[in-house]
Amino acid sequence: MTYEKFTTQIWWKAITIVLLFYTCIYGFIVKVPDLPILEQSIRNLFFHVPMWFAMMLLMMINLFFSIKYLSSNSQRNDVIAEKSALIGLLFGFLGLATGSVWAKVTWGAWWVFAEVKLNATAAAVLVYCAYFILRSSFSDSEMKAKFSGVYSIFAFVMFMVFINIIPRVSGSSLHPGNGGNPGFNSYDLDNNLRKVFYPAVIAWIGLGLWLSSLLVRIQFVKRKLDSID
Amino acid sequence: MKVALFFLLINIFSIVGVFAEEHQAYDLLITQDKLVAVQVVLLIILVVIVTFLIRQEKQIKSLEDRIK
Repeated sequence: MTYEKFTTQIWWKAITIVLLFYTCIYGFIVKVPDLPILEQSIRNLFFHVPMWFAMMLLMMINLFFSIKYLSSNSQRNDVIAEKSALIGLLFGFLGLATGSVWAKVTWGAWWVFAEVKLNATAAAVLVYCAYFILRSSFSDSEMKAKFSGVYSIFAFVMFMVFINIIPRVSGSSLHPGNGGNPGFNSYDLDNNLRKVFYPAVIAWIGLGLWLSSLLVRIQFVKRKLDSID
Repeated sequence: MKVALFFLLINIFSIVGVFAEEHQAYDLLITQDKLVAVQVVLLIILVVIVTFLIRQEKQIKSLEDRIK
């Protein structure tokens, strides 16, 4: 199944809507582990973490279609890569915003500068901001697509290094499951968090795909009307 | 220009954060007994987003069918 065929199908969008409402309704009703400091803010797990998963998947799509563009020279691949990165970046900002609110509640500050993972994720988001600055600096569409295609390979590697490798190597993160801190799974004895967390991941990823696919389809229609394709 | 705009946006983002701390809505967000209020706000946002997406989906579909 091609990307274009998949994005016009309805079934996964219906699942996304159902799971989004399930997350926002059951996510506030479900019994959560009674943990000091975290208390009810643990429900942010259903929003904060899936935002990063959605960003990761969208950046993978960006990488895949950038490589596809470089090997095929089809502008349509560049459009998919660009729009995926745009929505991925939006989810990155949402991840930072939800993380910032959570940090204020649990760590007492909107931004903890000594926290490696926070700074690394901010740097990762900036790497993709640079992707769009790079794109906007070219007027020739072919040059734009070529340079940003190459840059997106570098950006994805840096993104992974910033969000997955540096926080683990540093060993001093405040995040659960990092720097020797116990993860939520050790407290979630009755698996209640998982009942919402996994559907939430699918829901936010689905929303990201839906948003990016709409932008892609608008661009394709525009290109067809301009007789580019 | 675009870089300046970007940094301006980041600054606005941090200012909103500082103001939010002083605002009643902040307490609403973190206290246990006000979870319902947060849920209602989120549900309203979700309904708006989903309605917008469905309308966009229909419009694009009709455009795609027209130019086929």
